[in-house]
Amino acid sequence: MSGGVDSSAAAALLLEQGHDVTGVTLRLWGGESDSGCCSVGDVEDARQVAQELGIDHHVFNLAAEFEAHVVGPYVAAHAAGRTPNPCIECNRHLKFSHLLAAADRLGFDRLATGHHARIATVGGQAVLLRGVDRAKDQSYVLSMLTPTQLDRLAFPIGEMTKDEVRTLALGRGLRTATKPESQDTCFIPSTLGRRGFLTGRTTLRPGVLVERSSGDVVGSVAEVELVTVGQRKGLGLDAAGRRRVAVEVDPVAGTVLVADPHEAQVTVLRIDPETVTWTGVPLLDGEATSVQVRSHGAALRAWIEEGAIRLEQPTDPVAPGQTVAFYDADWPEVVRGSAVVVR
Amino acid sequence: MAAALGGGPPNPSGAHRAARHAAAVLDAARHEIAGALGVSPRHVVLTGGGTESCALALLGVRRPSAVCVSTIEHVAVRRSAEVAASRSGVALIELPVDADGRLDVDMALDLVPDGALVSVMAANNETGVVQPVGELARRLRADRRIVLHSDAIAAASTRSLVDVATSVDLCSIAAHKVGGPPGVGVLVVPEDLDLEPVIPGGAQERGLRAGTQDVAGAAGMAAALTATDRERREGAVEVLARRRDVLGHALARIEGVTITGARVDRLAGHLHLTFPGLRSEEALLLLDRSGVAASAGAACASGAPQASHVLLAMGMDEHRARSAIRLTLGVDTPEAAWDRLAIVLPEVLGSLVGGGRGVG
Repeated sequence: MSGGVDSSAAAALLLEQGHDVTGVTLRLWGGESDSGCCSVGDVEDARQVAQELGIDHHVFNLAAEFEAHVVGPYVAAHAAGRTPNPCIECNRHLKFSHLLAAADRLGFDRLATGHHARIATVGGQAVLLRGVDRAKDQSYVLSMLTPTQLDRLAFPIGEMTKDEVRTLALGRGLRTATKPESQDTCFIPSTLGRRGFLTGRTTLRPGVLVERSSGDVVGSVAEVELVTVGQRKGLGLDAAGRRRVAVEVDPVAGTVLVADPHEAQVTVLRIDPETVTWTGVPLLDGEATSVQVRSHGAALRAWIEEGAIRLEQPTDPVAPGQTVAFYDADWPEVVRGSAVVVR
Repeated sequence: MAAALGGGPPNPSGAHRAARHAAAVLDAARHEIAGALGVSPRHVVLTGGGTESCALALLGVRRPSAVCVSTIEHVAVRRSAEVAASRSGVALIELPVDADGRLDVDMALDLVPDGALVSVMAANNETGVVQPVGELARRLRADRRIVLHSDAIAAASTRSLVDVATSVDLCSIAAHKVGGPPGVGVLVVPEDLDLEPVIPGGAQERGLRAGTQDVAGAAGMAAALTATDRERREGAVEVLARRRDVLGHALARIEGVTITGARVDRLAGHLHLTFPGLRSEEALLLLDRSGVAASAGAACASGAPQASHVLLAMGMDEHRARSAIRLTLGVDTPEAAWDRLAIVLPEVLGSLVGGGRGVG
C-alpha cells in the first residue's frame, strides 16, 4: 500500500472478496523526497486507509535495498550516459523480489498491488495483460515479471478504470479517494529536480554537440549526463532549421552526437541478453511481436533477430538503459517479456 | 486522579477555595513523588512529560564547558544535547558503551572535561541494561566540577529511583512508564542549581516550568510511583525477572537468537533479542497476527523499523541490528499473556529462522 488510491482500492476489493488482508507499505527512501512511495505523509495515508478498512498494517524498511538496487544504479547509469527506468528496477529487485520473498516466508498466499494490469490464467499458465484503463495501463513497468512471480501475484484493480477506482474508494469513504497521482521519480524531490538530485550525487560535466554526419562541433551542453538519447529539446536547430536529436551520449568523452530527426531514426534496438525476461513462453527468433519503449508509448511491430530487436518501421532512437516491453503480436493485451536497451 | 479532578477548577494558583484544594492535592502529590525518589519535595519540578524533563535539564544548564552524553541515550536526550552544545558553542562528546551496552566508566572519566554537563541514562529503554550511574557520579565528582543528569524514565518501570536521584544533580522521570498518565513528567532539580527555564512565563514550579500544573496528572503520577514501589517491596519485580528469564532461555535455544545484555544487570521487564538473517518487521508482523505487541526498538518517522543507534553503539553490525525484537513485560502482564508468549514467540521466531512458512 503506497498511500495512493489504487492500492487503497485494491485492499478494499480483496477484503470484500473475503480474503485475509494485511497491508504493507515499503519505506524506500530516507531522503527528503516529497512525492511518490517515499514520503512520511504517504505512509501515514496508507496506515489510515488500513485503519479505515480494519486491516493490519506494517511498514517494511527497504531503504538499503532501494539505495543498492535503484538509486545507486540510477546515478551510475546517468554518469555513464544511460537513462534507466527506476520504477522497473524497483519492481524487479524490491517489490516482486524482496517483498514477495517476505510474503512467502510470512505465510501469505499472494502479494497484491494496486497496479493497473491483469493476470489471467490460460491453459493453467498465468498470463500478464494490460490494465483495462488503457490510459493508466502499467503493464510496461511489470513486463519484467516471471512465471513464478505471476503465480504469486494479484492485481485487483486491473479490471477497473481509474474513475471506477476513485468511485469505489469514495464509496468506501477512503481518505485517498481524491488524492492526486504522483508522476515523478519518487526519490527525487520536486524542488530539486533531476539536475539538482544528480548534482548532489555525481559530477555533471559540460560537453559539446557533434553532428554525426559531419563530425563538426555544432554547439555545447552544460551537463552531458542530463541529455537523453532521443531528446530534441535544448539541442538547437540544424542548418535546415530542424530540431536536432541526440543519438549518442558519451559523458567520458564529453560529447553528444546529434543528427537530424530523419537520419536519427532507427530500425534496430540492441538489447542486453542478460536482461531479457519472459512472462511465459519465450519469443522465438523471427517471431512477430510488438514492442513498447516507454510507459504509454505506441506499440511498434517488431521481431527478434540475432539478439537485437528489428522494427518494421523506423522510430526515434531509444536511450540505452530504457526497457523494451514485448507484447503478443496476435493478442496485443498480453505482455510477453522485457529487455533493457544497450548502446 | 478522579478525586483530584473532582474538586472543581483544577488551577492551584488561584486565591479561592477550589484553588486551595487543587494546591493541596498538588502538594500532596509532590510529597509522594519526592518520597519515591528520596529527594526533597522542593526539588520536584513537574513538567509535561519525560522529553520535556530531559530538554529542561540539557537546555537549562547555563554555560557548560562541554555536553557529554552516552552513545545509547534516548533521542529526547540526544537531540536536546545537540541543541544545547550548538547553542553554547561547545563540544558534544559521546561517551561509549561496551558490547553489553553498559557505559564504559573509565573511558567516560578520560573524556569528560571540567565544567561539563553530563547525561547518562539510568537504564536503556531498548535493551533494559542498567547503567553504572552511581559509580560514574562518584568518580567524576572526585576531581572535577560537573552537572550530571540522568534520564531514569525507562529505569522507573521496575527500579527504585532513590539511588539514581540522590547521586546525580538532575533526574528525569515520566509518569506513563510507571503506569501513570502520559503527559506528566518530573525533573529533579536541587535548589542551588541555577537552571534556565525552557518555557518562560509564570512562577509555577519555582519559575523553572511556567504554565498551570496538571494537578490530576501529578496525583496520577504519585499514585503510580507508590504502587510501583509497593509491587517492588512485595517481590513482584523478582517474579517478573524470573519469568522473563525463563522465556529468554526458551528463545535463546533457537539457533541464532541472542538475548541482548544477558550477562549484565537488566531491567526486570525487558527482553531484547536479535536473530540475524531476519528482519524485525517480518517477525513483528507475525507476532502482531498472533496477538503479541512487540517492537523493533527503533523506528524512523514513517514507523518503519531501522537499525537502532543503541545496538550500533554496542558494536553490533547493521545486519544484526535490523533483526532486533524488543518485548517489554510488566508485573501486571496477565498469566494468560505469559502462556501465549511462551507458545507464540518460539513458534514465530523458530519458523522464521528455519526459513519456512510462518503462522499466517
